[in-house]
Amino acid sequence: MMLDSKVPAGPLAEKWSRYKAEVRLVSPANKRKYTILVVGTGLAGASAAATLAELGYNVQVFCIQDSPRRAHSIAAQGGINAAKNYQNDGDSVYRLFYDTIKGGDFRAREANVYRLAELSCNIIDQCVAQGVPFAREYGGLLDNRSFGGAQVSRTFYARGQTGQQLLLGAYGALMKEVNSGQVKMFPRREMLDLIVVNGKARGIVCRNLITGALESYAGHAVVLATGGYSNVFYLSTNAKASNVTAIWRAYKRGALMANPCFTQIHPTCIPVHGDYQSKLTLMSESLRNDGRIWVPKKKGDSRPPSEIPEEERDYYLERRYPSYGNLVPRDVASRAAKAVCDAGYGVGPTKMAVYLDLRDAFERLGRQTLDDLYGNLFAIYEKIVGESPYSTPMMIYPAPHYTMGGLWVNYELMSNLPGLFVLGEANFSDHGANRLGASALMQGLADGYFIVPYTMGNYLASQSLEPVTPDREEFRQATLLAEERTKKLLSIKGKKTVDEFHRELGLLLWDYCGMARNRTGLEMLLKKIPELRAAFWENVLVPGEAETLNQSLEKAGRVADFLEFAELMARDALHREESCGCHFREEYQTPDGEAQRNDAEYAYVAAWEYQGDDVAPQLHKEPLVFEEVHPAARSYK
Amino acid sequence: MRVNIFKYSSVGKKQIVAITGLMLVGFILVHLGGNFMLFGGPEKFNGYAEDLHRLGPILWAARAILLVAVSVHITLTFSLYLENRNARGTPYAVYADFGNTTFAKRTMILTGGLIFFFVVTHLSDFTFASKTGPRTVIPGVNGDASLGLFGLVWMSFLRPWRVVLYIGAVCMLGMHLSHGIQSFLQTLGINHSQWTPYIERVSNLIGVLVALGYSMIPLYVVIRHLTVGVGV
Amino acid sequence: MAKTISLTLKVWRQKGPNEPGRFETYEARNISTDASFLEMLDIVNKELTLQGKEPIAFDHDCREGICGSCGAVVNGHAHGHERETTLCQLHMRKFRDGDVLVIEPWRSRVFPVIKDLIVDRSALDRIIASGGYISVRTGQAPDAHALPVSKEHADAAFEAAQCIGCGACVAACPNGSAMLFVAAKVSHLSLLPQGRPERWRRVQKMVRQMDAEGFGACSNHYECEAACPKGIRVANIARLNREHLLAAFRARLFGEYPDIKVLPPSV
Repeated sequence: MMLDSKVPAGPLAEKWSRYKAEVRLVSPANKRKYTILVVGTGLAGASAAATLAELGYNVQVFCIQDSPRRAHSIAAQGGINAAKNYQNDGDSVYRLFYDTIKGGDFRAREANVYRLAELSCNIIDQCVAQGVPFAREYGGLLDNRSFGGAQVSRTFYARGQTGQQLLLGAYGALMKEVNSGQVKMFPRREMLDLIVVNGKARGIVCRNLITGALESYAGHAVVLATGGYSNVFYLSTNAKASNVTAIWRAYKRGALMANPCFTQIHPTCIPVHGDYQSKLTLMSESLRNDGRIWVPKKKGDSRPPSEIPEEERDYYLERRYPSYGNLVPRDVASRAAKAVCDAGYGVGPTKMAVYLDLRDAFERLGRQTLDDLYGNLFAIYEKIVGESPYSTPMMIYPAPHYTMGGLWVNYELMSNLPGLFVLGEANFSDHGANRLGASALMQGLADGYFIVPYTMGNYLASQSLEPVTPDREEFRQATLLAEERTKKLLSIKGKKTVDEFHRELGLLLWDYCGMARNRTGLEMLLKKIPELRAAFWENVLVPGEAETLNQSLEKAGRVADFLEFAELMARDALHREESCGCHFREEYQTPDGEAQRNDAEYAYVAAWEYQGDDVAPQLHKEPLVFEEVHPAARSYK
Repeated sequence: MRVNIFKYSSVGKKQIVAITGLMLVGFILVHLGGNFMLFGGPEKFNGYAEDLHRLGPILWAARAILLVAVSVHITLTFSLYLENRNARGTPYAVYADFGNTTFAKRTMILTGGLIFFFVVTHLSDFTFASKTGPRTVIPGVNGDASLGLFGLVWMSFLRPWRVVLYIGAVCMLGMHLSHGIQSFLQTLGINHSQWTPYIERVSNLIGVLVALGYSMIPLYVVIRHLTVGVGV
Repeated sequence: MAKTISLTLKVWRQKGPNEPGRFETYEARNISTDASFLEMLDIVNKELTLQGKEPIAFDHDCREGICGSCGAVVNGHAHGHERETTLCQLHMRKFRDGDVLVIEPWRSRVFPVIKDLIVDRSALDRIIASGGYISVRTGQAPDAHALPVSKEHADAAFEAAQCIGCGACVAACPNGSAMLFVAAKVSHLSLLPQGRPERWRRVQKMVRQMDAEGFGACSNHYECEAACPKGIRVANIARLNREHLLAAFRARLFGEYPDIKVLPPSV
């Protein structure tokens, strides 16, 4: 298969304008003849659905939660980047583009990233017009803060709840279209299969989570905005319902899965404290603006932090990376934390934590200012840990947070399956091997508000699509398949709960496909995961029935997919014999422990094609062509 | 322009309740001022009552407005009360408040209803009762001649159960007002981060003062009767 | 430091919206005080599952207090007794060994029980759909700096906009009123210049929808404020009242917005 990225010709800065100028349009009278199915209502899904509906398409929207407002974008804390240069500190579209592609360790598609940087300014304008209450200065204009991987302040924020405010803006836009009748909302639905008719994505089958009924929906195009798969690690900062199922089923219907091993481990999360733990909680990276990260200089030092004098503290990020200091990109910060803890310098009861200390900032800025910036984060920390960040340094440790990998899409955000558009975290497109902070919100909204409305029109205008209704054979087949699977899950009646399997899988991945990976570990994973999967299908215990609300059954379906997906992840990690961004192969590192990229052999997107359940997937390579930037060794020293 | 307040939104109804409530608060304060004339003796008190009556149509207009205010206040509150009760559905097995609600707030409908019944008896006892005849005579005073409304009030409060009833009723009124006045401001949209805590205290204070003020009337009658007598 | 406690739970179990519900008693043994309330329920559910029983169904998602999915009434308090805390952020160190906890779903006629502790809160979505947004299209919005907003107004708007739509205000209100929820959105948008053009119409539409759903009216108990996990203030309700009063005068005087419609419950 030839992967055509469909990147328009011309200079980088003109590609998107040129695309828009040449794109095919659908007339208003024809738009209302098309139905578009949007799965997921996070930033990408809600913004896409609202915008497509405004244009006049009929949009049907599906979400797993009871309300579209609850999608996990809501939990994003720190902020959203935009190249507004309101601070006059030397920012520009080009600089945001360069920071992002460098932050991703030159494993992202240049044209996509440039377009993202270009659109970043429109997003802020749009959100302000919607009433998103960004933080402002006394003069009435917008405030900014800085984030990892950048030397400018370009991050717009609403205290520590930026994702919430942006999502509620998009949710408002979506509800406006629900009111106008252009959007039909289907909450508490979980997509279980993608329907492909004559090679094109034409519908979905979902489970009504209240009644348990399997429902079929047909449309002219399908938009997947179902988020990332960090929950494959069991413990992650993702919401409990976040899962891989929607994109995994699309993969099994022929869509390519790109770079699945690129998973971001976020450096500043509240450490694990017990085996009953159900999730991990992020402490926004923005805290690294004012907080300093350190460990004791002495191994196994168990004194309370207040008793460790200044000269006995190792501010290891400031020491190793003097020019970026505490604001190095996430992958670098995470690895550094792992390194000091592995070497025995960790703190806290488990010794798997480092201090994030705001003492100096409290002295410099005062409590009121810090409360304005991070008040809600302090409250979360205090509730979870039971210690006050005002009086003692916070303890943090890295945790799975975001997945750069996802379904392969071209410049139009369309997968290799025509009619299947993939937005936001669910696609692989813009962050390469590591995402910079405050860029996920930017990508989700750029995809939904400003990209897919154009590319969707181009697709629909250039197709002649036969009428498809839910009574077609393809829907019947898919429904039957889903039904059988459900029946199977409920009939095993084994001895272990779904969570136990999930936890086991998560631990395996965390140990061997987490912050550091090596050939031996990954090869072992490729044996262990199928074994665990087999054990799951023999010994899982799923109580209850199919025809009702059954949360155990929902979980079982998701974990079954994680068990398949994890194998692909390990396979991808094994095949990429270089270190880049988050993907740190221990065999490939510089003498001082930094990631060593191999541009000669691995400057490509690895896109995997499903070949059958027990058959190895086929690898397709989309070479990454850099016309504008020259991949250089990524240095934050 | 047709106006049907029963078709107003819940917020609109509440605001009508608040406005009518404020009118009634005004009446209650004026009425209290009038009652204080009792301390000036029969001439002053009866003179004030006669002055009011001389207003004629104006008095009747005021009474009509009050009647409308009372009816609207009560019917709207009652309809809201029924809607509110209906909104819960299955009751909680355990319900605990966080302490923001108070006894006065929770019993508004009860104190309101009791005040209404009290007002009915109060009207028949005083407003519509004959201002002449044996019930207006205070034995041994003014040569056993009628003392008009003054005599009627005086004699009523010489019966202990009336004193108890009256004081009980005005205490309820005070409680009703203590929440009613602050609630009125909130419902009409007045809430201020600095002033509202004071407004709440003033509202409670007015409630207490109204209850005390009205209670002074029967207490005055009883104490005065038992000590120096009417003194006319 | 973490220790373990044991509790007795009386949990509302109800198979479906039209089935009768009742309390079942379970023991939660050796729960770490570092566990969250929902993790405690996870542990109980695991035991129930292994005993072949159906686990307790409860809504939850982000488990960091921002999605608004979770919520139950614990010993009479919405989201438990701890102030400004969602159920998922309530930790077991706030309870004592041997405590008996009565756990019920939100009780409101407008929030029918779907199963156990899960209720249907779609009415809140319909209230937002009726007008809880600024009607701008995606496209060429003016530059974000075109319209300055005073820091005081922006901060106040943010305070109101923090609402997570969990429904605790309704659950805690003696009248089952949703005024704090509606007021938070009305306040957020009317405080910003971008939201001003449609402020009168918005408040009328949202209040109409709120009434049509069957929520109770506010009688200023302020229990909602105490139960709100985001600490949203009742001053927002006063602002809604003010907006509503002014809107009503405008409607009477100028005959504005006669076309307000109410969304059917099916949306």
